[in-house]
Amino acid sequence: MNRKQCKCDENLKKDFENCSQSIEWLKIHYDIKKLDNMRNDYQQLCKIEIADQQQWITKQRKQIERDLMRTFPNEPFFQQKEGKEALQRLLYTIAIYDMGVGYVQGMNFLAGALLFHSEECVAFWNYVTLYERLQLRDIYLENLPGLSKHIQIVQLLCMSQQRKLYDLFLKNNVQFENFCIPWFLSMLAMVIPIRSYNLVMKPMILNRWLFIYKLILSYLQNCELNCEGPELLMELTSQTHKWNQCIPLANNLNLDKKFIDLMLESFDQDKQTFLIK
Amino acid sequence: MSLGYYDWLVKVIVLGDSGVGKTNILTQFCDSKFSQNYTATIGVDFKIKILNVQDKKIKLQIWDTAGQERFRNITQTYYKGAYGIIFVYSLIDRNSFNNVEGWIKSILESTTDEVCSILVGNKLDSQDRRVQTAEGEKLAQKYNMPFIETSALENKNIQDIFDRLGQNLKIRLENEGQKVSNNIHTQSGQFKLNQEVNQTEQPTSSCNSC
Repeated sequence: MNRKQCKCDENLKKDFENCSQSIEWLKIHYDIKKLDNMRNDYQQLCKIEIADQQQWITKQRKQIERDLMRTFPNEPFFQQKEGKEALQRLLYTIAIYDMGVGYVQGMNFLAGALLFHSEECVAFWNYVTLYERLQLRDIYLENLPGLSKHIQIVQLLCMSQQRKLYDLFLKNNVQFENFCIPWFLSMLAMVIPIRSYNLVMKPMILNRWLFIYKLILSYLQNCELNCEGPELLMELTSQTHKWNQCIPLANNLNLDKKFIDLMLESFDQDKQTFLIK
Repeated sequence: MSLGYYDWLVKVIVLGDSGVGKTNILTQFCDSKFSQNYTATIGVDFKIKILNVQDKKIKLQIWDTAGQERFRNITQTYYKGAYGIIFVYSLIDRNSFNNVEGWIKSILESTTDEVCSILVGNKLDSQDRRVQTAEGEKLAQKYNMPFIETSALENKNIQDIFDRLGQNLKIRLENEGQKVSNNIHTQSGQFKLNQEVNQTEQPTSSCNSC
């Protein structure tokens, strides 16, 4: 028997549901001996129907339904009944997990990428690990305050580290929010090839935003931008094959962790700006 | 005249609820295909296409937006500098029609610039119609914009959306006398209108009625 999805392991002897790496991620936060309990917990969450929130639930289900076909449409796994239904349950459970946020487009790619490497329950708890450690709540919350925060930080880092590129954007009226948004909302799952997503998962869990900023800066640095005007934006968003090459390069990049932490902490969500005391 | 030549560069945004077919309309128009395998738009995506309107070439930078309600605020930041707006609803989704007026109002509230708009009812191919043609016409009349029913799946009336929009854009651009050759890139993407000329010569939304 073989895994139908990712081929991260050459010779899986047992547990065909999960690639070995997805279990490694799980171990960062959870006791793997309790996997059976975690399965049960997930099953419970899956089935929750909240009587007085029917309208909210219908809305979530409808949006999820709309996006199922549109999540990795070129990956057969997601076009088959089994994969589609697993993703549907996973996304519903994710919506239930933090009802104040619910299901937001972008989550489907992140959840899908995780599901590609593991069984539903493992994908869910790995999602939770990432969600909590990187405070993803902020990027999906009403008014998307975290999105603004991370875009501003990337912009600042680009300005200080890649001045020429920054000036090119400025000159061509290319704004960071015009190309960064899908990257953050999908936690790069829209751009990193799904088979390589395992390469970013661990560093994202361990090094959090520092790694993501490094990866984005590395991509910007390695993007070949030859156009000007409106085509520049197209070039910037179309070179998805470059992301793969940039994963190993990201760690060579030098970013001041203390500075990043300070920025992350000093963001005022209401004013959507940094208040450094 | 070189291949990449154009007379004007114009930003156009496509607005409407999630799943009404915004991306499919653009794919049909720009790449001449309908893709069953298309990806949900997260945040924003771009397409570029040169539109011929009589003797002029208008280069369209089209902003394809995400329809989910949560993204409304960021979508509004894209309005700035838009010359053309395509409002889309689905003929088989009553809600998307009910919401399209909200999208129109959000434009009226947030921008003082005049824009050329068009209302599009998509999915004409479906048998399960929930919005009548007369309703779309009435709404378009209320906001003084052209109206068209389309099918991205069958490539029906898709080109017409852009032809009609293009005609209005051309009239509008000629009125402004603001020509931008493709040698000048400094203003790309974001056009600031000549407000003074506008206010004195075109006090009302002349473009929308043309």
